[in-house]
Amino acid sequence: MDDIKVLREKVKDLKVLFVDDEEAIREGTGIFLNKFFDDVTICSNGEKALKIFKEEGDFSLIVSDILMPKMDGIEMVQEMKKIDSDIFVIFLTASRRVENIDNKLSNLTLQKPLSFENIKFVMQKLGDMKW
Amino acid sequence: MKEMFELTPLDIKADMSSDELDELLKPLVEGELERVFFSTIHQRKDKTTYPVDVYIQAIKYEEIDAYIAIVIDITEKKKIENELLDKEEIMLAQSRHAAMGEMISMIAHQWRQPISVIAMDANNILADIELEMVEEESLQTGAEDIIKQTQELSKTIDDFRNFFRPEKIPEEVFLDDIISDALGVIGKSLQHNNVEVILDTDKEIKLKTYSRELMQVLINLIKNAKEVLLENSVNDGKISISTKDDGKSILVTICDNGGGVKDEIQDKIFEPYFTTKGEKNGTGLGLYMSKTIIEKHFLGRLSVYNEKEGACFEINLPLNIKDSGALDG
Repeated sequence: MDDIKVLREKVKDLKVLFVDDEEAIREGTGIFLNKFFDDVTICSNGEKALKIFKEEGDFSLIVSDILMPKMDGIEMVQEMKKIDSDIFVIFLTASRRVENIDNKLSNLTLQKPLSFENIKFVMQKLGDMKW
Repeated sequence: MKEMFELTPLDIKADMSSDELDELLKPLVEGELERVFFSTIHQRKDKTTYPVDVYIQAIKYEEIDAYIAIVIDITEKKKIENELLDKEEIMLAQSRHAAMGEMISMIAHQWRQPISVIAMDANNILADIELEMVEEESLQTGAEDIIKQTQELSKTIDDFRNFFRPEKIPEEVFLDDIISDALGVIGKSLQHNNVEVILDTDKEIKLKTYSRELMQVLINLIKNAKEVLLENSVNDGKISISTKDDGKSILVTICDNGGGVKDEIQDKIFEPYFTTKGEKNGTGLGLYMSKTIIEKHFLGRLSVYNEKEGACFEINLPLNIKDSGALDG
């Protein structure tokens, strides 16, 4: 694995959209993502996130909670992929049995909260897929 | 037979001294009582023992003062009594477990976020270290936040300890506080299921009682009401709790709008192992144990009646548990 600063250099310009309905999670993970990506947009629900996705466009990485009221992560990503199928999607779940969530929609499904170990792996994957 | 006639009552008693037997027979011998009764252990020729109830009656037999003794082997009776006690102990434990189960769900729910936040604080510190972006200020903020979260975790443990502390003697408490405690355990679950709680209580009511046990009974009854509302898919589920002091006793009433209990089964619902829920959800012990606890430990009454929208469970408690001479433990 490349050095973390090298990895960061490769991915920091990617535009990120982060969605979670819990405030404490948005705060903590938001700060965390901002250490690695320069442009992070944070949303509290799927509907708002979809709207911003359509209006602003250009998002490369979507990090989202699955279980959310009104519009859940899966539905949201389905809609987003109709517009841009190239997005890299990471689902975050509170459930410990991550393997059970079998869907072709995401590139990665990780346990909450997003950890330091996870992010290195994420950056490596993103770096390898560099547009 | 000859052997037996040479024995005295003391010989067949397994573990009694001459003095002890004299003491038991004294009122009879001195004419104070016509009959005495005591339980003891007898032994057979082969030295094995068995429990007995002994009745001795003073009589006149052809002008002679005599005594007639009736000895009843109570081995079977004792066996059944012990089995019942065991079963009751098991059911008491199961009922306590049900209330604890609610508490544990609540803990799991309450702990999730602080644990997440602590993990995030730690991840942020690690990221700073690796990216060589460590700043004293953010280290401090992170550390302080971790401490704040651990305080949340501790509070939950303290609540748990408090709610299920053992109680050897009755204590004086406000009834309202016991109800608050019960709602502290099951309240979140009610909120989660959109059940509204309506309180109409007399805040002055104080009683000397086993507050933790009463709390567990309340949790049990509220949980029952919640489950009825869920099973019958009642959209605007309501549970109302009211209290009243009518001078002789205290009444605690828990009503729901879940449709009520059918007349045919109103008696049955308090029986052990009777349940209207499916195999998975109902143990059929909650109401039976609640009734047993209220009747045996509080010398009170638990009953049910239907109102317009649903069922009402009413707990009737004597004002002072000491006055009523209720049993310990």
